[in-house]
Amino acid sequence: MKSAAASVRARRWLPLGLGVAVLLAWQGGVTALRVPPYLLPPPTTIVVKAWADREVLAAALGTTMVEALAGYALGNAVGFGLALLFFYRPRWERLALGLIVASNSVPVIAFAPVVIIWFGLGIVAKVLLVAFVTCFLTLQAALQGLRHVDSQAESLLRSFGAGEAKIFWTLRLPASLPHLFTALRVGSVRSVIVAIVAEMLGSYRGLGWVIFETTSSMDYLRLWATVLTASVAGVGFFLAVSAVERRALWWHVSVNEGRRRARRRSGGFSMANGIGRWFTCVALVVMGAATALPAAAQDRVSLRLKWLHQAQFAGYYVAQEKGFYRDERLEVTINPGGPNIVAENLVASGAEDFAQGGGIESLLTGRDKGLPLVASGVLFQKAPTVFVAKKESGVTRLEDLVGKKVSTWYTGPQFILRAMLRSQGVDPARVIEVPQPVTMAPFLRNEVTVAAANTYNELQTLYAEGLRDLVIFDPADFGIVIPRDTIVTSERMVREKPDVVQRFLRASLRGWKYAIEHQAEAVDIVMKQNPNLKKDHQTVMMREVARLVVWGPGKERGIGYIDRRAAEFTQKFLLENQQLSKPVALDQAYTMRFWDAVPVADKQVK
Amino acid sequence: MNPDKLTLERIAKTFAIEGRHLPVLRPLDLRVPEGEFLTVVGPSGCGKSTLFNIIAGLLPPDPGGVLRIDGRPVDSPLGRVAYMPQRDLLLPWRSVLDNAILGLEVQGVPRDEARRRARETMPQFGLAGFEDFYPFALSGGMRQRVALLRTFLFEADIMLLDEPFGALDALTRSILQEWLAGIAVRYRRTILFITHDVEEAIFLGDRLLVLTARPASLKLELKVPLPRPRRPELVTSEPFVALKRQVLEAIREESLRSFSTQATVEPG
Repeated sequence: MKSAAASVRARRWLPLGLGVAVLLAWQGGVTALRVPPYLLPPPTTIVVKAWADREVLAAALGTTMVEALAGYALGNAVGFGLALLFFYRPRWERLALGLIVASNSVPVIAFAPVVIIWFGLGIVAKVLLVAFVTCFLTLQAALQGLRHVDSQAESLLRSFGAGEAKIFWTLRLPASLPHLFTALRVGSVRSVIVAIVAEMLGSYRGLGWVIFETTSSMDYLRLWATVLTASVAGVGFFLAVSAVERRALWWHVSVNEGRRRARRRSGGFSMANGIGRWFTCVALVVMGAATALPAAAQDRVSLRLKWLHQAQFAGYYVAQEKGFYRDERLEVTINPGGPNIVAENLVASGAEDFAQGGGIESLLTGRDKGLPLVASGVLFQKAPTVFVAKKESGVTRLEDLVGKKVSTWYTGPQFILRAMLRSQGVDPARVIEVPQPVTMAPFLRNEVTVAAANTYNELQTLYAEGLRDLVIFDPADFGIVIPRDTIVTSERMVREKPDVVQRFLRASLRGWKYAIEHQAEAVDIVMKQNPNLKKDHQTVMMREVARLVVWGPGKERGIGYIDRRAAEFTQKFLLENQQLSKPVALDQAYTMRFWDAVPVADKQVK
Repeated sequence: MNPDKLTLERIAKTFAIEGRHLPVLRPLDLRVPEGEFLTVVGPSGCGKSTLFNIIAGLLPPDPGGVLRIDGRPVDSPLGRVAYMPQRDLLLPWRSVLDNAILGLEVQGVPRDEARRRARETMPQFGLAGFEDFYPFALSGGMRQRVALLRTFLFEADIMLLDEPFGALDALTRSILQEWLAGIAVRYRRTILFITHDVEEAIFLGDRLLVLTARPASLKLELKVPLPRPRRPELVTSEPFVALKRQVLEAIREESLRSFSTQATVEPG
C-alpha cells in the first residue's frame, strides 16, 4: 500500500522535479561555463526580461491569441459542419476529399505567403490559416467519431422508433466527443503555432512578428522571452482544452483511467512534453554552436551571405571564379542566406568566419547586445531603400505627404522615413503610415500614395510595370546616409587569425572591383551560382549594386571604405530612435586596419 | 386461450452475398398468444438473431411474409416492440436512471414523468439506490438489469430478449433467471427469449421452440407444463430432466448437422 502510494506520488512529482532539475542545470551550466548570453541566457535572465518587457509581450500575446482563438473557433465550426455533411451525404465527401487531402498534404507555411497576399498583413490571413489547419483536424476526427458509433446501439434506438435527429442528439454526438476532443486538443497547440508562423511570414504585430524582429535585430534576450511567452501560451491553451475535456468526458475511459491513476497525469505529462521539446531544441542549438566553434580551419574559411545567391554578392563569386582567393591561399565556401537566417548571428557564434551582413545599423545593434562582431569594410555606401510616388499623384516634395498614405517596411525603413520627414520640418504623425506587404500591389492600385522600394528590386518591378514617371525620395539626399552590407567577422578571428582576415578582405575587394569593371561577365558568374535567376533582373541589380558601392566615399577612397561620419550618423540615428540602449564604441565595432593594408590598385575603381 | 399478440405468416429471409443467395430463415409460421413467455433455442449461427431483427423491424423479411400484431398486419414494427440485444448497450454518459428511460424518452414521454415511472420500478429490478450511478461503476449483472429495465419500461406489449444473460457468470445468471421468471408472472408481458442454454429455455418458458441448423426452420415445439412460480430446485426434478433430454436430443441432431453442413456445403 505504502509503496503504491509512493509510486503514485513519484509519478505525479517526477515531471515537475525533472523540469526543475533541467532548469537548475541550465542556470548552473551557463553560469559555470560562461556561455555568452547571446548563445544561451540563463533562465532567470529570460524570466526577468519577460517581466521587464511585459507590456510589449502582452500586446503581442493578445494579438496572437485573438488570431489563434478566432481561427480555432472558425476552423472547428467549419470542420464539424463538413463532417456532418460528409456523414449524411457521403457523395459530397467523395467529391471533396481529394481536394481536402491534397491541400492538407502541403505544410500550411507553403501557401501562407499567398494567403497573406490575398488577405493582407492583418488578422484575417492568420485567422484563415489557423482555421484551415484546425478545420482539417476536426473534420477527420468528427467524421471518424460519427462513423464509429456502436451500430447495435443505433439499432436499439431505431427499434424504439427513434428518428435520425433523435439518434444524433442521444447517441452520435456524445459518442463522437472523445474523437472530437482529441482533435480539439491537438488543434489548440497547432493553432498557436500556425498563428505565430504566419506572423513571422508577414505581419507587424503578434509574437511571431516579435520573434522575427528580435531575430533580425539580434535582441536575443527578448527573443528568448518571446519564445517563453509563446510556449506558455501554447501549453496554457492546451491545458484549458484538456480541462474542458475532463469535464465533458468524465464518463470516458481515457479520462477515468487518468483520474484513477494520477489526477494530473495528462496535464503534467503534456506540460513535461512541451518543456522537454523545448529543451531538446535548446540542447541542439548549444551542441550545434559547440561543434561549430572550433570549425575555423587553417586556410579554409566560410562566408555567409545575407540572402540567396544574386548579384548583390557578385564580388565574392568573381573572387572565387577568378582565383583571387586562391592567390591568397584561401579556400572559401560561400553559403547563401535565406528567410530567418541572420548572417551576423552565425559569425558571432563561430559557425561562419565571415559574412556580408545587414549594415552599419545591425552591426551597432549587434554590438549593443554583446555580439562579438567586427566589421572590416562596408560595401554599399548608402542604403538601397528609397521612397517612391507616382508623378500623377501630385507629390513633388516631402511636405506634400501630409495627410497621405505612406507604406513602409517595419524592419528599419520606418525610422528613415520619419527622419526624412523631420528633416523637412514635417511632423511624422501627420503622415498616415501603413505597413507594406511583400508586393507593390497596393501602390500600383493607388491604395497608398508613397511606398518604400529597394532600388534593385521593387523600383525595377515598377519600371517593368511600365511606370516611368516616378518621384523618388532618396534618404541620402536628406543627409540620411546609413551604409549597408558590412563585411563582418568575429573578434576571435581578428585576434587569432588576423592574416586570414587580411587576405580574405584583399581578395574580396579585388573581386568586387573586377565585378564592377566587368559587369556583364560578373552577371554570367552570378548566373552560375543559380541558373534559375533571371538574367535581366541580375543585370539591373548588378548595375544598381555597382552604383551603391562606388557612391561617395566608395569612389573617393575605395571599395569597402567605412566613412566615420556615416558611422557616427548611424549611431546618432539609432540612439534617437531608441534602437540602441547606449552609445557603442565605434573603434571596437569596426576597424580600418585591414582595409588600409589593401593596395589601392585592388580597391579603387578606374 | 388468449388472443394472439404476435403472428408470423411465412416469414423468411435470404441474404444475397456476392451474388449468391444464402437462405437463413425458411418460411416460418408462428403464433404467440398474449402473455406467453416463449423461448427459442437452436444451434449457434442458425438465424435466431435474424428472426428477432425481423420481428423488431430492424430487418425487412422477404416479400410474401406477413407480420401481425394484435391480428393486424404491420409494415414496420419499429417502436412497437421492446428489443433487448445481447450486449447491455448502456450509454456511458447517462446515469442508471437516464439509461432506463431511453425508450420512454424516444416515445415522447416527458422526462420527469419517465423518471418517475423508472424510480417506481427500480426496486423490482434490484436497482433501488443506484439511480444516480453511472454504468462504469456497476457489475455485469447489474448492468444487465438496467438494460432489462430499459426494455421493460418501453411501452410495448412484446418484449424481445436476445440472450440477455449470455455474458454473465453461472451464479449471477441463475439468480437473474429466477428473478426474470418472477417478473414475467407479475407483469404478464408477451416475451420472446432467445438462448442457447437449454436449461434456461425450459426454466423460463411457457413454450419452447427448437430451430434447425441454417437455414432455420421449426424443428420442435414443446409446451412446458411446469407450475409457476418456478424455483431453482426445479431443474433437478423428474419432469424437467425429461423435457431437457428431449430438447437436447433435438439440438444435438441439429448441431451435428450444422457442423457437417459447415464443413461441406457452406457457401462462404
